[in-house]
Amino acid sequence: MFHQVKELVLKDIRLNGRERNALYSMLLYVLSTSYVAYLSFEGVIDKNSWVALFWIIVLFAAMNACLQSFKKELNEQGLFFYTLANPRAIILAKTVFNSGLLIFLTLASYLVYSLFLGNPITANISFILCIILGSSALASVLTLISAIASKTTNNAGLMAVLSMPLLFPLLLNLIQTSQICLSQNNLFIAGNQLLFLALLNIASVLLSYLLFPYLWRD
Amino acid sequence: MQSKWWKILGILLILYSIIGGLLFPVPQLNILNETIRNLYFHVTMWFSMIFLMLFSMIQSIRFLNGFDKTRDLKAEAYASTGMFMGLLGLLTGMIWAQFTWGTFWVNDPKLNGTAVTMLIYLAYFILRNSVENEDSRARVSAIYNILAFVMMIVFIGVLPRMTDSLHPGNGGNPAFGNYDLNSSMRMVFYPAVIGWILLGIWVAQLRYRVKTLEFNKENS
Repeated sequence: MFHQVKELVLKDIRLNGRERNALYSMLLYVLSTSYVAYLSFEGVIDKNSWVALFWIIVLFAAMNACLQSFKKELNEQGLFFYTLANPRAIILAKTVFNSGLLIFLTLASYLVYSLFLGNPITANISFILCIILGSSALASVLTLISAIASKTTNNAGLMAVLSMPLLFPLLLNLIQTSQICLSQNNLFIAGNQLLFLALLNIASVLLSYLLFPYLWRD
Repeated sequence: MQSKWWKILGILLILYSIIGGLLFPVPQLNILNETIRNLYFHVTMWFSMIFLMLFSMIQSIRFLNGFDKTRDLKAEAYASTGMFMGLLGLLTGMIWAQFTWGTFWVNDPKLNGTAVTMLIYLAYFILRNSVENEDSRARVSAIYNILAFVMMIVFIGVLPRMTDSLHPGNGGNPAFGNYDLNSSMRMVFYPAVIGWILLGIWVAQLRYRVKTLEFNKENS
């Protein structure tokens, strides 16, 4: 099982390394939205709007990044994968890969975004933790949703409709945690919120682990 | 579930709660005044919505164990009845909010949670209509239904407790249960909850039976 997960993650990394266009387009997306934000706020933005706008940019980048997760696995090549791998290994591998991708993307957007709009965060360690936990929670929910959406006829449109309300409590929590990181440089104050993020992570991974095999079998 | 007694019981309990809710004595409280009687109608809607969504999720889980088509139709019927109850709960809550807090809509974690719950279940119905193959429609919507219920419990159960709320029992506001919901209110409230849940199950069953007829007509 773990061997399969490892191999599948490596396969995804290799595929992405070969077709770098996807990664570049996501980075360009982050760069251009941050620049649009910079232009529209003329470089001056208050702290709370900074946080809200940052997570909205990350949310849309994440949705774009996870949209195509199952483009290959659930179509013609799906039959081939079906004979080779356990469905649970496939979803776990996708979740791990997407988490890694989104953590990288979010850190990159943090860098680009603070370059254009300044960095008001005082509690850096808590904020980085919040980024890591938040991106992996986003990834684990979005991976399952993209698997669901890939079964439908209009998957790009449906992806937003299905995932937006499910991600709402996560987004709210991320914004609150970041607002705590604005003022207080204390890991314990943000601890409660970070714990919630970790629990949401575990819950969504568990749900995908349990439910994906049913989606797979067609 | 074909028997009649529980349907009659449901109607009698609701009749009792309407009469009792409007006539029985209630505690005199500031701001709330007589609007406290809305408790029998607003809160019971939410209770029955959550129970109906729970039944819907149970049907979805049972569908995934064995792929019996009728389970999927039942899950859909429970979810749409629950959605209707939720809408009524939202409307009664908005009227109550207008008289106590002064506006129809406030930025309160519980209200946001329920608004998003409505959006989730609307997405569930859209999802059902956008899968063409009937077998995979049932499966995909069952999976989303389970995911949706878990997330709904997170919204309306866990998240409001982490932040302040205008609702009783959160953020320093006293709960009704502490001293306001006295025994005479309980005498009306709990029967009302049971009555509305029974009525909800009845409506869902009727809807399920109509859907089954339509389904059989299409496939014959």
